[in-house]
Amino acid sequence: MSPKSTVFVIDDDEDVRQSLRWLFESVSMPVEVFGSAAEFLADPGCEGPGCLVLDVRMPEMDGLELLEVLRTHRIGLPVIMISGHADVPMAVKAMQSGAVDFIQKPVNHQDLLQRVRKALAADERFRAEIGDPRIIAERLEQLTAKEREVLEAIVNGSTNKAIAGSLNLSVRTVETHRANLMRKLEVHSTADLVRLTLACRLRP
Amino acid sequence: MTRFDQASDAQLTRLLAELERAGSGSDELTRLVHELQVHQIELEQQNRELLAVRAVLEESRERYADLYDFAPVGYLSINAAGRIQDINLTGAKLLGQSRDRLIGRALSTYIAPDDRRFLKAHVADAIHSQACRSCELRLRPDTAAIREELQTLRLESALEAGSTPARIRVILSDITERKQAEHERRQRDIAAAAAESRHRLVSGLERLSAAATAAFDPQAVLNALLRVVQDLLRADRAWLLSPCAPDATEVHILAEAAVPGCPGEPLFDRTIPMDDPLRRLIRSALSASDPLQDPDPSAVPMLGGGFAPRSRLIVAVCPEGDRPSLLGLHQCRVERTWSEDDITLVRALAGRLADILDNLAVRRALTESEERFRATFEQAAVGICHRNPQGFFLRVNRKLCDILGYTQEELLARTCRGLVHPEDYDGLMQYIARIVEGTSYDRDRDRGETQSLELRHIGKSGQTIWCNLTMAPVRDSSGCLSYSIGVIEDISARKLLEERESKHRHALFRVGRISTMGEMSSAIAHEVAQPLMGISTYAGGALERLDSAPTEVEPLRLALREISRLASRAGRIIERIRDFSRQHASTPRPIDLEAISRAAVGMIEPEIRTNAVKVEIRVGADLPFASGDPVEIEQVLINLLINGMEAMRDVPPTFRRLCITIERAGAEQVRVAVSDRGVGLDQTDPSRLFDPFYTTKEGGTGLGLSMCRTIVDSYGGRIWAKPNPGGGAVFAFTLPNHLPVNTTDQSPAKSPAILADRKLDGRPDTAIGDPQ
Repeated sequence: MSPKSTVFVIDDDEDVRQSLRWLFESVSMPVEVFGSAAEFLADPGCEGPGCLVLDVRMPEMDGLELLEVLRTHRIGLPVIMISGHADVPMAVKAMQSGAVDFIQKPVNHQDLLQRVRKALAADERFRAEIGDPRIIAERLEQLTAKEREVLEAIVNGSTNKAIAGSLNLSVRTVETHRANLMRKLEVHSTADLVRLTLACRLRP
Repeated sequence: MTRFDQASDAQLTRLLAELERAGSGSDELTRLVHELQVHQIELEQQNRELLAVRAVLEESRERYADLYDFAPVGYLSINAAGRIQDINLTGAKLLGQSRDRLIGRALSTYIAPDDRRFLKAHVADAIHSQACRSCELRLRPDTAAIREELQTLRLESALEAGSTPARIRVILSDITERKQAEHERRQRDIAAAAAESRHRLVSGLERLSAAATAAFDPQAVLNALLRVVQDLLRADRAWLLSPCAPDATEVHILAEAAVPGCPGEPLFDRTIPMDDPLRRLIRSALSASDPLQDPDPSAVPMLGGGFAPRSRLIVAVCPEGDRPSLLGLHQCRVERTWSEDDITLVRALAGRLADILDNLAVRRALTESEERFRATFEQAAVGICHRNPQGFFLRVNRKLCDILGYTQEELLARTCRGLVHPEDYDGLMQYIARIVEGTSYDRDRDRGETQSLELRHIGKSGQTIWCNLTMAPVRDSSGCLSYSIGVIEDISARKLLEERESKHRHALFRVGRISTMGEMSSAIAHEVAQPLMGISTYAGGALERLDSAPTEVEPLRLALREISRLASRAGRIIERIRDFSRQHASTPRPIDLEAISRAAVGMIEPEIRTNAVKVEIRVGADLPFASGDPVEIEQVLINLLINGMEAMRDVPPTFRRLCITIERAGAEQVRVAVSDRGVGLDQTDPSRLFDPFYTTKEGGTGLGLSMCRTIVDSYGGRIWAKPNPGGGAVFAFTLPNHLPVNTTDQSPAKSPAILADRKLDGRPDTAIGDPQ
């Protein structure tokens, strides 16, 4: 892969930001720091590969809002959120919004590094096995609602006949949908299709 | 042969002898003799006739003597002196004496002494008038020994014509029986008249009473009464006006009755302005004891319907409990002399009328009050019920039906049990028992408060209706409960608002609490966490580098510099916070701790109710103002109350009691103690209780008591905790008395800085959140 996987740090506190840069540099990880979400989105490298380290509490746009924006921008980077104080509802919400990890201040540096390494590895694997998450996301968006339903059913292991029965379609129509969605997602086998779908489920 | 015959015979014989002697029968003589003989024959004839007449007369005389003597009436003759000259047998018998003893005696001897002068006058009258006169005299009692009553004689007397000396013929007849009969008839007539009069009176009064009870409407009764009066007295018109008061400016005709075709306009319901004649009439009617007859018939023609009546009878009717009225009776067509009987009747009727008017006034008052009551009851904007001691409804009004959704009949067939939320039923029963007992109610009433209960009713469709119930007992004369009146107000809307407000307040309170302490701690945490995170991260990075390239010192120096810088940043933050809290202390003011306690309780009332905690405020006598800041001291109290309440969370609701005791502590301080019946202080470290961040509560900030101490300390007070002897804990603090030091224009004693803007919802201060 051409660009090296980078840790993108977004934190409004300069001291924290610089200390994180120092930490990741100490273990020779490429790191980019941004003072705000907007700054990050304006950066051409924001599509990765790599992972994001976010502070939940930031002025202007907080971490949760940034996750929403990332999703609309189809930026499929793994995210590690850092929160000031334990807040289970916020963690749940962050998870639902697609953040892969959630870590509480004060942060144990080894713990943080371990999670970042894991996130980077996951990102690399995805890109290797499935492709650019942005492209994949674009492809998935092309699917019609019906095709999505059929895709869900396929991933769940249903046969065409069973799908036709549950969706009240003819087997032939199901077969058409299946062919169409495989074409749109540019996969050639059911195994690839399932792998892609499952991998996407783990991403924002 | 009679003497007369013998004499005439003798005369005749002598004449014849003379003739013989004097001559021989000459012609002349012969003729004379012849004539004489003719005369003699005529005479003899006449004599015979006379004898015959005499016989007839004698016979007649005999008969008349018998008639005289045995006539059915007494005959007698008296002389001018009244002495009896002659009397027949009947007369003698009437006088009770034999005839021969009567002759020559005075008639008056036999007459009753009282009547003797009448006899004398009668006799004189008879003599002078020379005409027949009659009189009735009673006999002397002993003459009529047989009879019980005095015998009465009728005398018809006439002067005997040409009698000298004067003689009076008297016819005596016994009229005793007739007299008796006459007397009896008169007696009967009197009795009958009296009976008639009595009957008229009694029946009149009865009719009046009947009329008074025949109708319920007072106006109808009045009209009926007047009709009766008018009819009883056969008057053409009867009217009743009110008020019969000379100082009234106008009078009103209350009722009127008139015969058909009575002249003049109808008077009923007219108002007549007071004028002088009317005032005079009213005055004289009020002062007179008897009805006024025809008082100045020309005055007040208005009362005759514009027509002057011929005869009038006016009487004042004076009820005891009402203003007097004036009753008038008019005779319009003919003049009428009001009889004694009429007057008596009118007087009696006026008396009875007064009684009836009294009754009517009472009835009117009752009716009005009844109507008012009914209207109030039915139209009330709140539900009202009357409930008997057994718990059944006696009466329910429309609004109550509306509130509960039942019809009146359905409600009357139910008791409270089916209508009240099961959780509130026991509370209701206790409330009713307390009301019936009466003590608390009376006490509350003395204080001008009404005790009420908020409870949930269950509507017909099963919905819960929050109601405010106020009950009052109604007792009979012996003090037993007759029934109780319940006023039920639908407060669902208010409750909803309250609930919303409570949630809102709860939220605000939490926010407030957080913003005063939690927020601050959170802010502190965040502020301090940032440099700490930096420190930790630099240190972590440095460690990593030491592991991978231990000889490179320069980057480590950088990290250490950063760590040092970040540590001082954290220090500065803490310094700033300390400065902030120092600025916060405010100047002490005089505060009324009782008012502040109430305000604090009011602030957390929703929590109190939710937790079913009973809060009591006890205030010692002669409490001085304390010195402090009302808002801060209230915050202290709220904290202590909340802590107490939270400590009792696992205690059964009946034991959840919080008590605020405020009293003097020595001469210069006031002590406030908040005691609870909660878990107590066993799980705490007493030496750290008031330290910041020390907490035994899950989710507690550990700042509440610390803040309390800071506040109390800042006003020179002291705060401490000790176990409650009966279980639970007591948190107490003291504040110094407020001493008016300087001469501010505002007298602190008069205007203590209590929290005027806090409403306490007007709840009784002794029992808030009573879990009923």
